[in-house]
Amino acid sequence: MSILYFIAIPLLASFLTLFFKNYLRYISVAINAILLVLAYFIIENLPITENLSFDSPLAISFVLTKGSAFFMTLFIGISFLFSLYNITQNSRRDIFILTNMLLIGVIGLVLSGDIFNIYIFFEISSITAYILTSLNRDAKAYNGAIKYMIIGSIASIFLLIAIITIYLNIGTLNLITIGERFGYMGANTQFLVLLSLFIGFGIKTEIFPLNFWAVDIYQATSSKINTLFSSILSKAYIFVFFHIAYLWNVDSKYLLFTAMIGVISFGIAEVSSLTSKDTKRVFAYSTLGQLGVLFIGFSYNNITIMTGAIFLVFMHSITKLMLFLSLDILEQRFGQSSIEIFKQFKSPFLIIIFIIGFLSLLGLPPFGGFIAKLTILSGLAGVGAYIMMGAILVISLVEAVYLFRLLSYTKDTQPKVKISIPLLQKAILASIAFAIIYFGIFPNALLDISQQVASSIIGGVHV
Amino acid sequence: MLDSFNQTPFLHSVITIGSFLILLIGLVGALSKKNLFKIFLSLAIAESSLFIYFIGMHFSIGKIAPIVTNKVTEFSNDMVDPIPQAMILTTIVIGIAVLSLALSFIISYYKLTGKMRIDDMNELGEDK
Amino acid sequence: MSLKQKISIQSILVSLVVSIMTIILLGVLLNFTTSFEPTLGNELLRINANNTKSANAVTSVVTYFRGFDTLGEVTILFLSIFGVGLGLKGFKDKLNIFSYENTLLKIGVDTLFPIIILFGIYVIIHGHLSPGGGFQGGVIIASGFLLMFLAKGDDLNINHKILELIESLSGAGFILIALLGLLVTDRFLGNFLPLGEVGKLFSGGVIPLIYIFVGIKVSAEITALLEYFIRIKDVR
Repeated sequence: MSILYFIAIPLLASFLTLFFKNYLRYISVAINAILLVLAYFIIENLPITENLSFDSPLAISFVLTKGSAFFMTLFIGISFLFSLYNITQNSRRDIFILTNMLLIGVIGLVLSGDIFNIYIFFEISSITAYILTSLNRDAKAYNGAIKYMIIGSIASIFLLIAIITIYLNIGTLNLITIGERFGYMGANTQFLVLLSLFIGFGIKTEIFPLNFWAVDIYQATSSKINTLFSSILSKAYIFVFFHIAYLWNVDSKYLLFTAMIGVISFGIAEVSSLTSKDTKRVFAYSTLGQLGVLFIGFSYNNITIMTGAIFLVFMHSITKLMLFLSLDILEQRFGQSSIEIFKQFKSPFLIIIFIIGFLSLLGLPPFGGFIAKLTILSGLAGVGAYIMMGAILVISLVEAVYLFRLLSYTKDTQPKVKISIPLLQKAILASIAFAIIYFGIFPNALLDISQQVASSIIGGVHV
Repeated sequence: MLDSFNQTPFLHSVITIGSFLILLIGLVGALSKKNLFKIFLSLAIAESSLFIYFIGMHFSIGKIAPIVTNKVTEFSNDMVDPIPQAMILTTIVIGIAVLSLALSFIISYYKLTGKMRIDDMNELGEDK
Repeated sequence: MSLKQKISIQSILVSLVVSIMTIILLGVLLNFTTSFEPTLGNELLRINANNTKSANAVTSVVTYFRGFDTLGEVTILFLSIFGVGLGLKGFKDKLNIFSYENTLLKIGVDTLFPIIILFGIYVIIHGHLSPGGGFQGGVIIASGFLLMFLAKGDDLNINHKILELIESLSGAGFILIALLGLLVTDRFLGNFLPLGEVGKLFSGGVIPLIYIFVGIKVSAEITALLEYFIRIKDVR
């Protein structure tokens, strides 16, 4: 039983697609199901460190702690739901390879214990994201893909600068050894490394001031692909960024800086979405805002706040999965994605789904988002950061304005188009909605898991 | 007098200043050029500067290649570090892959719309 | 926005980049060489002679000690060539980009092509004995094919199905070697073949085998890439 099966199985499947061209959608569901079962069995013996190729601390190591196991299982679960949703469409070779590669990229990012390996998986997920952006093959898609590639290459250059400086000054590539020796470097060099890491990962986690490109990318692709970007990709980068920060015991001023950046990013994203006229852009701004809240949540070295942040990661990922898949139904029916389509569809099922999703994003009871925001805010009160609490509450009001405006469009009295949804997709959306309500009313099991994950991230080494 | 140029610190400072200038040229070019090809060319130049820096800084005068032959019969500390070479090998191939992907996107975009400059790319935005 | 606003935003951005870069330079130049000896590379050099009997330390680092990075790199190459193929598959207006008669090229390529291929195979197979390896040899083989494209123009038809088959099988071969290592020696990418003596062709255990798979894969992929780009008519 080895951790590497999580990477080897999807990789082998992607290489051998030539032989199974017509059954790819079933194989995709099967692979994700197998990985879920493997994850269930491997979680019993945490923590695991596995060295590759030979047995020595000099080798590349893969580390499975409670934190990385949580994120890995979340990503496999979302990928499973996504492949199950696609089982009614035709088998497409490009979606199969790209979703498998995306899964490999984020699992490797989360599990790897070696900084150059993290760079390799960073590149794998970036290239997958570039190709996914261009999947529609029209002018908008290529426009978005080209802009994404320019910014993404700048991010890789800065990450490379960080790795080069680390190897020149510390001489090793293992994350834990770097953490032990990090404090012995000069202050200037530490600043250089942290700045380059912030720019490199910050571009990918879509945080201010480096996220001016992100909303265009969400507009360039279809909503189905936006689920992968919003639920899987950005969460992985946030986890790696903060995992490294806590593992290396960085200066507390750095974490203060990231908290400030988080709240500024949240504010700007929500304010910008007030004037937006395209539903994909609205949802993208909402995602950027929630990522800002996650930045705030991860930046305090406090168990309660981080428990709330982990809970928010879970809730936000499944909520955005549900919302973007519903938006995809609308987009395919109307062929466009402006706000006006909310005035033109008639489907009580979809309206209920949107209500549940929006109220959970806002953080209102009895939905899961309420528990997440409540935990973060009570943690902030416990630390004494009242200004931050106030800022989050005020900006959430702004979020409420545009989300309720969207909901009010559905009550518009215009001639409407009836939308019928296949049973399987209805079942998937309904089960996610049910999970949101369930975790809002009975949150204790998930809160307990989130607390263990939070203590494993803050604890740094091997918990 | 020329012997003072054959010292390792002088070599290291030349490499540092040179690669920093090339990195600056690359990044400034990527942000201010308007033609799409030139932007990606500037990014490739910026990446090359990092390769030169990394390999150059690990070289000291008097070290030899880490290969065992008839004349050099065992591995010793006189040899250059093999890890940076392996890392840069990988990174060069990644650079090729990303650059070829970018070129294919630019060509497809040009065939669809006929635009080659980043100012004219206006399909995405608020009012579309 | 007006021209003045555009220029000012751009100059702000550029000056921001320049100032960040200057901070970086100061940070680097003022505070270098606090290095911890021995570095990771020196440690690996020390154990290289016993763990893998390969004469080229860089090859053993690339394929064995950090073989997983090579697996990732092979994946990245596969992904991007796949992405290029998705976008450019529709274009079939192939035109010889040398549109003049070049007799020397046409006659010479028939002699040069097998020699280049042979040289590429030599570089791939002797990766653990002298500078070279899978990537280097693969690109040499692909450059031989480029020469054929330039000389023959429209007469040369590459069957992409065969190239894709070669790519898939060699990639799967690499992972299967790694999984075999997992089953036999309980470590992913472990060494399960006999090591032999330093300097012989059959030495180094699993290292030359990995590099052969990598070499075949890289040559197939770069050839496919060149073919995709050459078939686009000059767009100006």
